[in-house]
Amino acid sequence: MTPPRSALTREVTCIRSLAWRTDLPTAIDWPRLGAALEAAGLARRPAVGAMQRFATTGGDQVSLIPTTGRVQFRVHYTVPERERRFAAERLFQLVVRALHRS
Amino acid sequence: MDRYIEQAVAEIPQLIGIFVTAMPDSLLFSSWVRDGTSWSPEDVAAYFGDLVRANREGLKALGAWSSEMQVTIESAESLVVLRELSSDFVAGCVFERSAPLGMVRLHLKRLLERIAHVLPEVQAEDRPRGLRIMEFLDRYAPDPHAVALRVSLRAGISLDDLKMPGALTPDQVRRLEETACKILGVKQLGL
Amino acid sequence: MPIEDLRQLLAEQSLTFLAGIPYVYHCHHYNLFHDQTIDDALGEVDGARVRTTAAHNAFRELLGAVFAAAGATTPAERISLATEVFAWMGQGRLSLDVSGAGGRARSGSLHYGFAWREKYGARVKRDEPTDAVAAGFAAATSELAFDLAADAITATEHRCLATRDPECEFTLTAGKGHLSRPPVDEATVRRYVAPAIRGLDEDRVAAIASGLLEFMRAVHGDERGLVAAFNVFVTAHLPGYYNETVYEAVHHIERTAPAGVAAVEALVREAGQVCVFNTFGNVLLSPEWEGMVGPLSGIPTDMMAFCTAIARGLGFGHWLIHEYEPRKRLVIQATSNYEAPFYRTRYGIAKKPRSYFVQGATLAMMLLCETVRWTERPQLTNAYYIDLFRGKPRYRVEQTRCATRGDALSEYVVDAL
Repeated sequence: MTPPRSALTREVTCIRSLAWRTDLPTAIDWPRLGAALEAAGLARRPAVGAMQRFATTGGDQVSLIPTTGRVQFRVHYTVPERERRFAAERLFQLVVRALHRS
Repeated sequence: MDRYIEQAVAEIPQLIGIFVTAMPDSLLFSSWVRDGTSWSPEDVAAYFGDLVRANREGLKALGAWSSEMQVTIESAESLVVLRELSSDFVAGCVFERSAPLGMVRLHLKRLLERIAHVLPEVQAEDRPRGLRIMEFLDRYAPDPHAVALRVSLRAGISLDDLKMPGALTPDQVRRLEETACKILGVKQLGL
Repeated sequence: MPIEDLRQLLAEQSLTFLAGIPYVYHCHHYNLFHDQTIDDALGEVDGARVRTTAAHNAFRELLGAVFAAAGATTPAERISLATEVFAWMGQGRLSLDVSGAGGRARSGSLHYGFAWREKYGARVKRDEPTDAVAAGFAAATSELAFDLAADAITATEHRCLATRDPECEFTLTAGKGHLSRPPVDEATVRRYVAPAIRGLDEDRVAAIASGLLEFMRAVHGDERGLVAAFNVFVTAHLPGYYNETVYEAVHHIERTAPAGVAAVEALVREAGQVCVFNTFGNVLLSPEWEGMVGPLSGIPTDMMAFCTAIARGLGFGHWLIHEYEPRKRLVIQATSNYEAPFYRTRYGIAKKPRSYFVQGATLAMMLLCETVRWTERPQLTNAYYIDLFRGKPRYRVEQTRCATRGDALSEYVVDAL
């Protein structure tokens, strides 16, 4: 398993604690990671250029940019602020487990 | 004073910063922060001073105020302890969260005794209320970059006059205060 | 008929229309700051009145055109379509229970109330409701649903998320009625645009803008009628609303308190800065941008091209870089913008430049391109905004040509001080 290059950190955001990020090596198998995320129950959304998007049933989003390794976790805005970090950590763990499986 | 504090904190490895705030205007008097921290001492000192003042007023409203009171704040990364050193000074100490509470209390007692010993006697100036209100707005207004413009429009005070808030007339100060309350959504300012 | 099908694009001018009525994209930071400025100028009571009236007028224009284009004729059809349009725009989901005599409306998710509570709720207590836009919309919908004259219905919000109520609630009652004005529609707008000209780096600006406009086609309200995109809340909104509120406020100050004109104009320009910092900044730092355009270089000429493209992509008009010498001078021209057609139609020829939003925006573009270290992933916080825009001014902006004044195009010159 290729570990993330960085831990979960707060992303640039104007809405408090809604966006988080980590960075993955660009050399990982991105199609397999995407497939593993779908197998874990995330729905693939239409891509935006090189950015791949996945969404949970609760409306949280995971965005992957294979060309740079950037991964953004976007917690749904209805999640109370005190719970947003935990929601982001769950998304982060989802990606880590998907990496492990891929 | 800063160098004295620097020597005093050398024995406390888990201390991240200390701020001494001059009251009643919550102005930074002295501070020390560990290398690598990016805090603004002026901002931290000001907020700590306001916090202690608000705490004091709250306890008075409960009939529970005591000159020995201490405010302790535990966050994910730090332990903050605020204490009044005298009527003119407040000390705020920020420790690593992992510091044992017993050690914190011991270090705090020694540190604050040393600092209190060397604090000067203060003859508090009567700082103009207009100036204090603008400083308060600067700290607490939601869009501080636009505060002077907003106040100018609402209160009908020219931008030039607002550049010297200490020189405002009593009527201007009254309008300024009303506007500040409106901007902050409060019935009166905590000044 | 899907709402998307009502969209039109005047591509060479980067202007967007819904059923022939102009619309643009703005984020919640700009929307809240704009409304706050109107209230600062006019006071809470008159501010709310002007904002509600402006929204009422703007939505009457929009919904009249939408109903005609969609063939919606019955009250039920019109109310349903109107609430779908409102939600599609990211303004929120509003339930209307109305007749020709008035009624009620409620929502748990309006853009202004929700965003205000999210941004300011922990810091400031608010006594007045904030959803004048929704109030104006509700009144316009009710009038048009029952074929009533303009202002036959008035709407007032008496509970609001921003004032810590669980929901926003409105009461609609009979108004006095007045004649409606002709809309500022695409045909009107076309009278006040100059032929599009090429600027510096035009091919790159145009390509990115085109990609952004295409991306924005898929951006619409979610099940709550809100749009969370680029780390902000976005609305498709009506220039008629922005323009009527700004110009009514500025003219009021000019008439009644001329000493305050400098402050109100500065605040409206500041709103342009707030938009560029928050909207443009968050677009640039978003994964969507990285996916569409690539990682940021931080090179000022690149960043200026990106900002210009973003302005076009949000429907602000055909902005172009006429001249750019990093750290010294920037000249942005606009063969179209969303301020001039309204001003010329409503007020005639201006005596001085009146394109306040773009004045502030171009000043902010200069600062953003010159000063922000984009490759270091800056946090676009309030504190950073203050760092950038307060303190000793580094640049000044002057609008040297203005379409509101009758010039063929608008020109904004930013010089280093």
